[in-house]
Amino acid sequence: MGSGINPQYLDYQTLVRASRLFRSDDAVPSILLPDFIEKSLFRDVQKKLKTIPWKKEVQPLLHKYRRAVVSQSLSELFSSDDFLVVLSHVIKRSVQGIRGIDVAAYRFGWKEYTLLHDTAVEEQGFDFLIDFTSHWDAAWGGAVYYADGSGDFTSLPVQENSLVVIQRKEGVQKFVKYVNHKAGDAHRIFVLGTLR
Amino acid sequence: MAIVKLEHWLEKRYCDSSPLAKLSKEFVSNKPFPHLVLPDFLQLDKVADLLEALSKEEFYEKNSDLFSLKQTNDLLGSKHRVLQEFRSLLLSESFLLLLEKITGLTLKRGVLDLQGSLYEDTDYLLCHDDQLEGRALAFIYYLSDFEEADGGSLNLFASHKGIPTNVVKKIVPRMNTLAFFKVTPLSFHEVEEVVADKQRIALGGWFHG
Repeated sequence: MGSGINPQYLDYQTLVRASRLFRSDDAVPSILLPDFIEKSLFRDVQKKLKTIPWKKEVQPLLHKYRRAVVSQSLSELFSSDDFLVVLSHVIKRSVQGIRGIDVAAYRFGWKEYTLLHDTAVEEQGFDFLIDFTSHWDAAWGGAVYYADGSGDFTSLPVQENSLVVIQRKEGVQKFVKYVNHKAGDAHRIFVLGTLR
Repeated sequence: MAIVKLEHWLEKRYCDSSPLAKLSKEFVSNKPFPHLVLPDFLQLDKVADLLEALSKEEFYEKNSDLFSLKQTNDLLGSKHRVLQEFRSLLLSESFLLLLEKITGLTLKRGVLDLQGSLYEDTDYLLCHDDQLEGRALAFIYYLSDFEEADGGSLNLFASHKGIPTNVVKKIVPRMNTLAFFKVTPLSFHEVEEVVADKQRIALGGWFHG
């Protein structure tokens, strides 16, 4: 049984092209790989994400969102050799150099957000994000931003079934912009992981 | 510039010394942290003048993880006479003495942060404590009338072991109301998102101590 990754990303030439797009000299190097997960698996996971138990996490100075453990099928995808090969090509690091992956699912609805804070500083590293959100309007907020500390922000697009890989250099921190009332009952759902 | 007198600006009841002890007691005992709300603060002609002058100031969009709103530069540089007079009023010895009697704080003379703020539909300012070196008393003078359902309220948080927990007090913006609170490590507050097609206009900032 395959990993569930779109076979085009298992093609060596595709990975070489992707690695060139990930510019390590940028302040916040990143790449977006559209249609990353095979359609049927994606829809299956997307459906399950609507019914799993979401745990509310609130610390007003830091964040307000819901978090959940990823499903077994997603967990298997992220721990697959195929996924590690894709990541290692993109970030130009050997598979042996990736010690592991920490991953969780996040859900943001109206009034939910994360904040930059001195007490919650992340060490430099690599993040990846897969979007499970359908029909999201950027005007509702909920975008993931990477701040480099100089006042400049890099925002990640909200694009269903896209894998985004980002390098967090020294001093770069991320936050999720407050979701405003225009979102109504809609939710932004994504899986966010960090490489160890 | 002409000398600014309290009695030319404030409603009469705020110029009398007799209610000050009561206001002071209220300020100190208000939960979740010392604060006070003074309705019908200025004489009505001054309210209209301030609103008109502020509407002519340049507002700049401010956006970050913590907020989305529009703000003027510090009004120290304003060219509008009535805004300069308002600033002089706040910095006048008689006004500072009034605030000191109510709050029990010692306020620095000659130091004031004053800006205009504008929150429109979906604008907000998330939970924070206002602590920055020197800030002693935060104030907001409202020039809009809102209902609770419109959003835009100044929400005050309770705290436990130095961490904000939940909102326990909502101050809904009402035209010509002055609200102020003591800046401390526990003065956690937010401006709730505006959810109506209305403008929440205010003059605000900090006295230093």
